[in-house]
Amino acid sequence: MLLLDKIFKSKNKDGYRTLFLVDILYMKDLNAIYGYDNGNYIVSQLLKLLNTTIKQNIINLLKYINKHNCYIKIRNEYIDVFSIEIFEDLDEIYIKKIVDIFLSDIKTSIFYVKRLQVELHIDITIGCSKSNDNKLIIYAEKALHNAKLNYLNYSFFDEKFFKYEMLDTSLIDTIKNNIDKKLVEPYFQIILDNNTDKVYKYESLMRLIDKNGVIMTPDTFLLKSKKYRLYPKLMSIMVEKVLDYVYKHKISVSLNFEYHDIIDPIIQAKFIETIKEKKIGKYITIEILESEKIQDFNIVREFIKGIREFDVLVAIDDFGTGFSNYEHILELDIDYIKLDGSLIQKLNETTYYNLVKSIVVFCKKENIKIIAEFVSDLAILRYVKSLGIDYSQGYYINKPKIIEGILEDIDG
Amino acid sequence: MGNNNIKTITDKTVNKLLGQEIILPSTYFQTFNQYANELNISLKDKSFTKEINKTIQDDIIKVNKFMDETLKGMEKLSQATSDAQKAIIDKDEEELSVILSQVDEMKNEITLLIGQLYQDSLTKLNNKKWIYDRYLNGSENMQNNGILVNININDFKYINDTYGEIVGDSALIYISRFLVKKLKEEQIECELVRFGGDDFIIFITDDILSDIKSLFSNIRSQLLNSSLKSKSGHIFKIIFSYGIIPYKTNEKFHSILSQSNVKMQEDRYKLKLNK
Repeated sequence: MLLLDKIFKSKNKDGYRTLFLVDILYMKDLNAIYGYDNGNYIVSQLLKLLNTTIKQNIINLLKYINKHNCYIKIRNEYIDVFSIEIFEDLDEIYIKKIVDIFLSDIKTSIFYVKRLQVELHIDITIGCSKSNDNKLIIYAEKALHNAKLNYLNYSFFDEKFFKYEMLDTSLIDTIKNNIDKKLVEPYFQIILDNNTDKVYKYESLMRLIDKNGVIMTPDTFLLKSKKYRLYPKLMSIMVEKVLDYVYKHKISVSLNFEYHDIIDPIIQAKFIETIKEKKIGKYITIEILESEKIQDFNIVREFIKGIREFDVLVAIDDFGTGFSNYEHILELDIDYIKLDGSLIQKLNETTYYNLVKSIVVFCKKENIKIIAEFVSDLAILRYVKSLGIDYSQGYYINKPKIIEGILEDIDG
Repeated sequence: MGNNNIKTITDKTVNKLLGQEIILPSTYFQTFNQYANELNISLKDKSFTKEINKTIQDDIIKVNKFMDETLKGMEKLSQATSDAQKAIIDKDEEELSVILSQVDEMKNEITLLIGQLYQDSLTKLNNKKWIYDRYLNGSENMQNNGILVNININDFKYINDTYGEIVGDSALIYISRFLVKKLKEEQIECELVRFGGDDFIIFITDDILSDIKSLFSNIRSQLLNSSLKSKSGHIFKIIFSYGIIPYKTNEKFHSILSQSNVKMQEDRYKLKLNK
């Protein structure tokens, strides 16, 4: 530790520090356009600006609250991120004022580029946090991340809330345990034929079980399991179990595939080998998520072609959530579209009713069947039927059940 | 002095007095004193006095408003009655229809007022009074079988002290909306109550205990994945602790409540250990 650090730490009894991270927006663009040497040149100009004008402005501001001179440490943390560490427990008002100094001083400054006679301005994002422990930089990173995610130019993260993020570790354990002991379990929800009011097929939905016996729904683990790169293993067990139940009980089932499952060679191989060997393709519908970013439609097209050889049907899930890709999606060779719950829930509003109506007309012409999900009460079911939608699914019909529950209903 | 003590005394006092139609401040203080003495607490503690005053003030303002409006209604009613008598004698049909619409209007006002009396103005959930007047039977027992969920926001005092009451209020609204949305999505038959401060109570009728346990575990995980963001760039993680207790018809509400409180504290402790 530097001697100065020691002196100022002893002055500030609690050891509280306030840390700002200043990040240059679109640094990659600047590098690509003006070259790396110019990128570095801009970084060095900003570092100089921080060390001179901005530092002085902050010191002037803090003179109002402090008798002694404040210790400020400024560093180029990495590539385009700068850390400005102030050895003080600053109040919110002063934090805001310092943010304003950054924003106005940097945005109004002119940056120069070598060789070219260009004067340019740069934009920044700021993350801030304060703490007396050594995780301070992580908290500030969280703030910076949040600011970027929400297109804000500044965000503050309170260390107090960090402990809840640590709960993630127990989630990793739960996911691992579900993989090791193959606890991943499909639940089944009825898809009802609106013309006959009979069960048409079941959608299989993934559930995990934690150590307290709690049944976990995907919204609690899906995102995180992908982040931890554990999702393919969960999906692999899910596919195995669903196909096993289909083979044993000869029930028609739809299975959700995301783009990542389609491009995963292990999952794909396992799926195709099993339906081929057990001859159960005709019982299966694959639901492809529309909201998932599909990067290469050719891969999806090839996949559909491949599974069609085994009589597998294809549905587009969550249709109507992202409005950008209609053209590509409708070019795919599909049997069903499943209307997103957000549309179905609002069928009592004229706009949504008309929107769905136009989708129905289109699908009838293209010979695509429609499934409505989130049918949660009789009123919605009536709307759905009056629109001529073919199938319904939702809590009004049933809640997802384990395989034994479904079999009981069939036998009972 | 522990905060819990104040809560216990307030609860005892409110429960004792809720049966009465009108609560005078003096009666409140007397009863409060009595319970405080039982617990050997000196009322001279400054911060303590401040806290009580605020609670009582809120209650009194509400009751006074109700009384005021009722009084106005009574005046209108008496005017309408004498107008009606005159109109009947004079066989003035036009006048009678005017009176009828006045009476209708009053009826609506009263319904609205009663709604306000039992609603928490901030979160629009039921309030504590609603439990005692409307939900329990006369002897404060449960009227049916069900499941009680006791919910308390973590670090609420910290949020309030650090970021001010506006943020604290937003946290309360955020949590109550989150709960309402999730319970509606899952089509759970239930009543939500803001019990006071950052305490919420949910009565769930006719459901399976293990399902409800899973549901609340899932709701909290979803809450962990989302955060409350202010326009000024602050991120808040608002998390609650909860306790779930199944109950039977005629069981004492207060014994269920204290059982659920123990469960909730256990849950909070477990959350802390996870750190």
